[in-house]
Amino acid sequence: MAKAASAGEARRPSRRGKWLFWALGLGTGIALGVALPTGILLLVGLLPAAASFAADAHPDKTTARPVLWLNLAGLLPALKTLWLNGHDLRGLAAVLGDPATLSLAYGAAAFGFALARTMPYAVLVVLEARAAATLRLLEARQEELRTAWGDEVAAEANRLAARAAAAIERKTTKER
Amino acid sequence: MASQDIVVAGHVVDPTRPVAGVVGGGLEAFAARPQRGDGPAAIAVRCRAHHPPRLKVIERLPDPELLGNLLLPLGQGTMPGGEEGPSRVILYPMPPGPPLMTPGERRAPLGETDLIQNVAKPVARVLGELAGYGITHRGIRPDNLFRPLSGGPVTVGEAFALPAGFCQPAAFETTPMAMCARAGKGEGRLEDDLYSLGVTLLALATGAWPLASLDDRSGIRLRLERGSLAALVGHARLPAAVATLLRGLLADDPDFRPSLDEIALWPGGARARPQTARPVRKATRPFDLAGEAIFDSRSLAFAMASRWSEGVKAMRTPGLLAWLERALADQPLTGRVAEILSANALGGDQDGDLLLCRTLAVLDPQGPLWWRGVAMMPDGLGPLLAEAHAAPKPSVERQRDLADMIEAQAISRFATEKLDQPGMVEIEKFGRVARAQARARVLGAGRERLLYQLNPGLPCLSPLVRKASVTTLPGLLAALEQAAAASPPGGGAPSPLDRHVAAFIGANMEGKLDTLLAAAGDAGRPEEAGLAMVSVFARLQRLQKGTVLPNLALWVAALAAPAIQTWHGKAARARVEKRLPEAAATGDFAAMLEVLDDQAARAEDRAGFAEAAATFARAAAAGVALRAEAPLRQAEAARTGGLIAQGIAIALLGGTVLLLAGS
Repeated sequence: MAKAASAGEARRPSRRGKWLFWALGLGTGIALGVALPTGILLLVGLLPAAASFAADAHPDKTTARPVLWLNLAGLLPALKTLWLNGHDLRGLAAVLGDPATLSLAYGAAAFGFALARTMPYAVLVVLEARAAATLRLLEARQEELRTAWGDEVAAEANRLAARAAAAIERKTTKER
Repeated sequence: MASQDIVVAGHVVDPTRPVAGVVGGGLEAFAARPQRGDGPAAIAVRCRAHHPPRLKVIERLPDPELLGNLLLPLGQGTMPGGEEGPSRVILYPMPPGPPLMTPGERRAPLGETDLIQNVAKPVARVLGELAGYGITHRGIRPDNLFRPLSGGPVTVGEAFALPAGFCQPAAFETTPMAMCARAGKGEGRLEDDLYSLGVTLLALATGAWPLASLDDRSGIRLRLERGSLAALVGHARLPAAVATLLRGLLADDPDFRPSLDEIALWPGGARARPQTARPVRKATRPFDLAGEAIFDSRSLAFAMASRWSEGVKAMRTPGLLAWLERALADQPLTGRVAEILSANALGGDQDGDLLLCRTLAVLDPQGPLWWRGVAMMPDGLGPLLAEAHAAPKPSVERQRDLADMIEAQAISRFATEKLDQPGMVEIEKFGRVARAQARARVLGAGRERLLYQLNPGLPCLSPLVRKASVTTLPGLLAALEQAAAASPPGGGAPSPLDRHVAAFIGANMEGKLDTLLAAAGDAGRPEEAGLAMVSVFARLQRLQKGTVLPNLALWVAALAAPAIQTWHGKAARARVEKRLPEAAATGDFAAMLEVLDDQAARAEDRAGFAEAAATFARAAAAGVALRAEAPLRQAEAARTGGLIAQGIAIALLGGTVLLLAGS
């Protein structure tokens, strides 16, 4: 049941990712049909995001989403320029011909990718540091107890643990 | 009072004035007088540690006023100057005159009336009174009967300063008793005293010491072959009444001896027809034992016992059974001996000692227990052990022989062959109990415990205190305190509680400290042993309120140091470690015990340790769990990192939208 539940959860994020992908694709299609220059600009400008979505196997698309948002953020100035300076193909050509347009969009996507890759490590460093601090506290407490009671306290603790484990084993065997 | 005078039981003893001819057995006796007033003179008899006095009997004796014609102890004490330090001294009143006859002396025979009225009847009265208290005298002989030179009834001398029958010459003992080692005769029976009275009367009636020309062994052989009456009386001419009396008293079968009532009314109370004992069964041809020709079973038993190795060989030859069956023609005896020998056909008794012991018990039903050439009565084991262990030069060979005898349960097996005789059931049990005790290895038990249990009043033989000759627990503590004062304590002895000290304590405390003593000797658990040792001395010290033993306490404190480890907390241990020597310096073992084993502090220590161990275990479990959760942390980091990256990206997107909208 747990496996089915987690399989269900995995299917839902993957379904969601696929939905997002298709939604994006649909949106792009609509944009192409209704506003061709914008559509083409989005198509070309969001290529990194599309590639990222295709490559990201995680059900939550933890790498692809930041790439998408930052890719979009990087493309927004170009979109604004296109819309303000004549929403036509000539304007599109001018925007696409500007090296800064794609540099900004692709650069932002790259930043998003880097962010998505490094942030888990940063979080892991913090979590590990917290765990290490807790371990140090536990070890310090044990050392305090050793100082006060001698090494016999460790031996007695081992005996207690062994007795508890044996009791659990007996209980488990009975239940089976 | 002169400087060398010694006070014992209210009397001043003068060791410079020995008194001869009053006590036997080589004991020293000294003149004594009352410390206060003008009472009668007394004598102080110095006892020997390795021939212990009959202390249990002395405890049951009546007051001297209740029993005339007998020298009864006036008191006891100790005096210095013995073979090994102070020795026990028993005080007696001075006898009323010289002894009737000295050993080996020839004198004018006493008349019939004098013999009957002034010797036989007073002695019989004394024996009767003692029998009422369950006591035998075991010292009836001419040199132990005293009266004034003017005559009159005799006063029976002392018989309690040595093991029972120790001073009796072989001729004055029944043949079984005569065979026994001097210290191993046991308490005996009234019939033994009656026999001794008979031989005494014979000596006084003839004026000659009986069998004086024969050594003990020859005298016994003669009596076995011819019967006591014939061997002792021989051709002596005796007054009729005396002869009839002696015929009864000297009968080899105790059942034929006259009763005390008969003697009291003698000659009027004599049985109308003098009783004679059954004749000895003689063989048609002799049994040859190493060149000695033997015609009856009792003589055979004596010969085999006296030459032990030849006896073992003879026992294993088929000639023995053949002789019993054909020459002696005693089928029941043959059957019993055959049963013993065939039961051991598988060779379980390799040395043959036990086998011969049992065979002799059957061949001579009245005989003593024989073991490797030494005879004893079962209740003589205690004094024999004392003689072997406590002599100034202890006999290692005798110690080993006695130990082997106990281990082989010879006493029980001897009794088993004689269960039809009175008292043998108890003796059989005693043999088993003695072996069980001798085999015990715990401290406070074992051979040493058996030694002190069978010899109350025996000085403690530990090398630590031997020279002090201590016979009481307070004396032991004082002697140990002195030994502990040496440098190193006890002269380098490992512990004040060695096997002899522990056994002495165990016996004197009647088993109340056996558990503590056993714990004190448990080398595998030194912590518990140290605590137990302190407890033992605390209990002993409590018996003597006010006594302090600082040197002993310091010695024991050093040995009890491992007991500090029974405390769990280091602070508690440090506290105990600091306070223990302080308590020991006061010489108070109860204070030491309070430091080492304060129950309230112990409970707190135990509870604290349990809590600490539980906390330690929880911390360990938490650490293990933390380490095991590393993959979970990685998954969490991936999830949370992804969400944070998304958040930042959305925030940047929003910021960009606002920026572009504003500009």
